[in-house]
Amino acid sequence: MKLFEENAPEFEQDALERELMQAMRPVDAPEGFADRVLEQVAESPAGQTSEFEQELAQAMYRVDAPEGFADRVLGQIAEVQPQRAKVLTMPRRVQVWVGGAIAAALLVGAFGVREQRERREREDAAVHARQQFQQAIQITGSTLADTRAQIAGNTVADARPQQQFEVAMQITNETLASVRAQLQQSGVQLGD
Amino acid sequence: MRALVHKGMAFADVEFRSLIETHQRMVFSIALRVTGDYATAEEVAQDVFLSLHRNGEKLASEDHIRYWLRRVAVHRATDALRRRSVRPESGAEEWSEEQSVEDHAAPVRYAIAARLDELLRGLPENLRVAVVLRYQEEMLPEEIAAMLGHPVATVKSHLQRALKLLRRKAAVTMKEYVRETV
Repeated sequence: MKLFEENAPEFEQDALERELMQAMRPVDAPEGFADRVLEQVAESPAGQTSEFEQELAQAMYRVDAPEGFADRVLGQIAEVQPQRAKVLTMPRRVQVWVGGAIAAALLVGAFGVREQRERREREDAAVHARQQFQQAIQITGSTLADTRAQIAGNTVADARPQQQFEVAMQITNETLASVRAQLQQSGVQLGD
Repeated sequence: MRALVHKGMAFADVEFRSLIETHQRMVFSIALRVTGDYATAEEVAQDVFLSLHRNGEKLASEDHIRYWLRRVAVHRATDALRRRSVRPESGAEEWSEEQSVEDHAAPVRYAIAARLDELLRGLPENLRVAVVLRYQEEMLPEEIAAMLGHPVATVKSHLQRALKLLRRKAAVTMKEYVRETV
C-alpha cells in the first residue's frame, strides 16, 4: 500500500506491476470446463427461449389463401371501379404514349384556334377597309357630281375652271386607282 | 381466370393477377394470424389488394410492394380485430385442425403447430403483431420497429413478453395434448 502513496519512487511501482503480472498469469481452466458450460447454456432459460423460438418459427409457416382468392379480388375490382381500374393499371409505357398523344392534340388544337382567330381578324379588317373605300368612292363621286353641275351652270366664258376641274378629276381618278390597286394587292376584295 | 379474361381484361389486369398470386399467401397469413378468424382474414386480404390496386402506380419496386403489403395487412388486420367483438369461431378451428394433420414433426412442435392460432389468440394485439412479423415474416426487430413506427426497444420488449406468454401457454397446451393422446 505504501507504494501507492503520492511520493513513492517510480521504480517501486514498476516492481509492483511486475509482481502483479507474474501473480496474475492466466491459468488453465479445469478439464471439461467448456462442455459443462455448454450443457448449462442448453438447460438455461435463454437456451430454452432459443429452442422455443425455432419451434415457433417453424410452426408459423405461411398458409395458402382460400381457393379462388385472386378471382374474387379481380371480380371486386371489375365491379367497383371498372373505368378507373383500367386507367390505373395501364402499363407505364402505354401511359407515356397516351400522355404524349394528349399533349400533341392539345398543342395542335391551341395552334388551330390561334390560326383561326388570326384569319377572322384579317377578314374583319378587309371588310372594314372595303366599307371605308366604298364610302370614300361614294363621297368623291358625290362631290365631283356637285362640282360638275356647278360648272355646267356657270355662264362665264372663262375656260379655266373647266380645265382645273378636268385636272382635278384626273388626279382623283389616278388616286382612286392607286388606292384600289393597293387594296387589291393586300387581298381586299372590292366590289364593282 | 378464363371467365375474366373472356370478359375483356386488360393486360394490366393479368399483371395484377400475377401480383396477387405472388403475395396472397403472405397477406392472407398475416391477416389470419393477427385476426385469428378465417373469414375476416379473407376480407382483410381482399381489402389490402384492392388498396394496392388503387395505389399501385405509386409503388415502384417489388421490395416496396412487399413492404407496403405487409404494413397495410397488419394495419387492416388490427383494425378488423378491434372492430370485432366476437371471438373466433368454427372456421379458424377447422383451419387449425387441417394444418395440424399435415405436421409430422416432434411432439412439442406438433403441439405448438396444432394450436398455434389458439396460442396467438391468447396474446394481446401488439404482442401478436410483433410475433407474426418476427417469426412468420422473419423480419428483424429493427425492421418491425420501422414498419410499425415503434422504438426498437419496445418491439424487443413485446417479443420477449410474447415469448414468455407463449412458452407458458404452450407448456400447458402440451400437457393437455399429452393427456388427450395417451
